Amino acid sequence: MAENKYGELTKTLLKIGQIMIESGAETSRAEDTMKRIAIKAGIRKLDVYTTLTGIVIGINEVDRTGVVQIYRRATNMEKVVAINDLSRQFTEGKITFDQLKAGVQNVDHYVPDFQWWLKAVAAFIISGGLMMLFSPSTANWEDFIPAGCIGTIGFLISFFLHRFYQMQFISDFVASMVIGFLAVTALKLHLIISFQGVIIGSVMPLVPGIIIMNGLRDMISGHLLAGFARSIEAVLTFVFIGAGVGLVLRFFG
Amino acid sequence: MKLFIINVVLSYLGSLSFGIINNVPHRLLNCAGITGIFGWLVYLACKGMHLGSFVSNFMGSLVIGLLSYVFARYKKVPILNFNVSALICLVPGALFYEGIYDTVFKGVAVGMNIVVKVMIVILALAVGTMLSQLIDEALKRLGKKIKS
Repeated sequence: MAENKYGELTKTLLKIGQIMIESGAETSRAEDTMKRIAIKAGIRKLDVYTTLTGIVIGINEVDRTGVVQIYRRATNMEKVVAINDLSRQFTEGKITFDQLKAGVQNVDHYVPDFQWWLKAVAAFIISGGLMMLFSPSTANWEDFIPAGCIGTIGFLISFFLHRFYQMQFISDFVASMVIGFLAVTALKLHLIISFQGVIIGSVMPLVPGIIIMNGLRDMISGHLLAGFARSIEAVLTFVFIGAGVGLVLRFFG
Repeated sequence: MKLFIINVVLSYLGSLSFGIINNVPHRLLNCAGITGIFGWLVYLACKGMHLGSFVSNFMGSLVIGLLSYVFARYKKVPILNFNVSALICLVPGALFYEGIYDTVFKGVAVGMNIVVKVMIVILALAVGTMLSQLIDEALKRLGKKIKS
């Protein structure tokens, strides 16, 4: 009986860690959550080694270890919040371990994404709005709708490439190249006035905000390995976005 | 006054939309937008006082960090929800574009000047975030000491 219990605990902890890293939580938060749950479940000390591509945990007092590999990372804060709520309820003693296990399975399968069209509308608002916010002197209100459309197209290309092919940096590169190309075309057709503003605005939905933030927070809390990996990921994304726009500027600008 | 309202509305909408892209749950979107407004207004105020881009970005991200901690404690959710959505307004997009433009048309030597400026701004955002985390940590310790 006891053997079985620890096996289940190991599996659930790994699942929790996997979901949290996959959906974009900080490494320290994932480790903290796993440790709290383990202590509440009656383990004295849990050893965790978390990286961006895999998690190793060991419960040394009962000779249990577990490894899980993480293939893809996407951003879904809804899952992080759901897991956080579950772990909070469990450590406060409001739900049992079986309920926690069922809840974690539920989060893994049924927590929804926002619809893609809602994200497209959000990308529209970001592109147009941030264009006006960043360069009030050069940008015009007439550019709001073209910039929004270009930004939305760029975001959707990156979104679907990322979803279907899981190629992280190339999807951003292609998206920013398309953005630059559309902006150049629109300028030639006299649809937009300020080329600079439109490019600045429509690139904004591609900015890897959560990766930058996670990288910083991981570095501060001492997870140097994960922090550096994330920071490099963010820098590379910026470089690829810049390369896409720069390439178009070089040949058509 | 009109410019002020435009700034408030756009920064609110921008932060909220970036929250949607990152799948921040519905009930937290409003708070994320409010955090974004305050971060952007503080940044603008510092910029208006000619404090330079380092100080203005630093103050903006510090305010965002502190306000996010308040909301995170109040709603009992991870702080990342508010932090990330609000910080999008402070990402140096215009400077980044200038860097690319100068690298392509005026040569690498001119472009690198601006790329270093972008790095300095990002460093300012990082320092602001770190300081807000430190302040939160210190307040938590203080609270525990007072309780015990």
